[in-house]
Amino acid sequence: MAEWRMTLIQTLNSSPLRELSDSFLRSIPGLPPILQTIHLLGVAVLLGSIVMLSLRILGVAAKSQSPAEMSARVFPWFFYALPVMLFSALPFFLARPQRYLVNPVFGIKAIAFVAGLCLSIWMWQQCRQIADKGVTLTLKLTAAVVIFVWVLTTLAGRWIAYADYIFWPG
Amino acid sequence: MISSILNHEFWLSLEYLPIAEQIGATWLFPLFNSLHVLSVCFMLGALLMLDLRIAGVVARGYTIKQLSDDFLPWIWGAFVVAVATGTALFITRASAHILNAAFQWKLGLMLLAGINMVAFHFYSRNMPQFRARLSDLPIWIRVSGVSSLILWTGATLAGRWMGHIV
Repeated sequence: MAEWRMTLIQTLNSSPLRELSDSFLRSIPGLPPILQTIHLLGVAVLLGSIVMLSLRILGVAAKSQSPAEMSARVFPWFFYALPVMLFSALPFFLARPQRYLVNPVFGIKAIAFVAGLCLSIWMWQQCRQIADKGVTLTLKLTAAVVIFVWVLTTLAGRWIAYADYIFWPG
Repeated sequence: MISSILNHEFWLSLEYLPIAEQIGATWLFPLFNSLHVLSVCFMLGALLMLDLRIAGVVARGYTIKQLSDDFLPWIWGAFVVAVATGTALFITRASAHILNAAFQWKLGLMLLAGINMVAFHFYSRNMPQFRARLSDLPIWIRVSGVSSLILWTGATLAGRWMGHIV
């Protein structure tokens, strides 16, 4: 395992944040599923805004809405959903950093997430030029990759808990 | 009556179906679980866009009819996937899930969401506001748009809660 990862896990585990997150999650009965549901609602906003917009750009969904107008309307939703998803997930991460940092599925999710974030912002920039250039092939390709990457991020999120199954003998 | 249905051996017999054993013992379970989460979230996201228009909060430049035509096929498609994958997960532990209070809440909230949807269609579809831009439905029908979101959020919370009651 990479040295920096061990150092990060040790630093996080010895910081007061670990204790704090742990007691926070135990403070109210049912807080973990409530936070997880808030996280899932963030995922719902992300899929309903960016993935739906990408499907629109590809010409398969929401045909009565113009891509330029739709993009201006839905992107703020995406940007508001991001901090909600971050802060609903953070207590779980800080309470058990080793569960995530040594998990290869979390690594896949992290890479897919960063790729999704960058590609979505790039798509946003391209959407602002639709009025001049129309829906270009580059924009369509970006939209297809954006869908793939966000779907991968969502699926990987659920698979974090199932990392052991990947090498299931059956 | 209800107790005898909930405790009926039928639920246990589902768990002994070859397909249920196959799902429960392999990577099919996490696969279906992750597809369930994906389809539920996609359904909720598309529903959010439509319900907030029905509530008169967003996208008022479009008619409710336009947004219904845009989003309903995706909402129903995702719903079908969610039900199929949900059933596949359910049969692996049917006798325990059927007695799980969170699962019972989930089904109850989905039933209420269904009734809300049917009532909405019945009362609103012939209203002229349905096909006009910048128009708002009567307040009690807009409330049903918000209710739909609350009920589905509750169903999602109950679904997530199931895993915490074992």
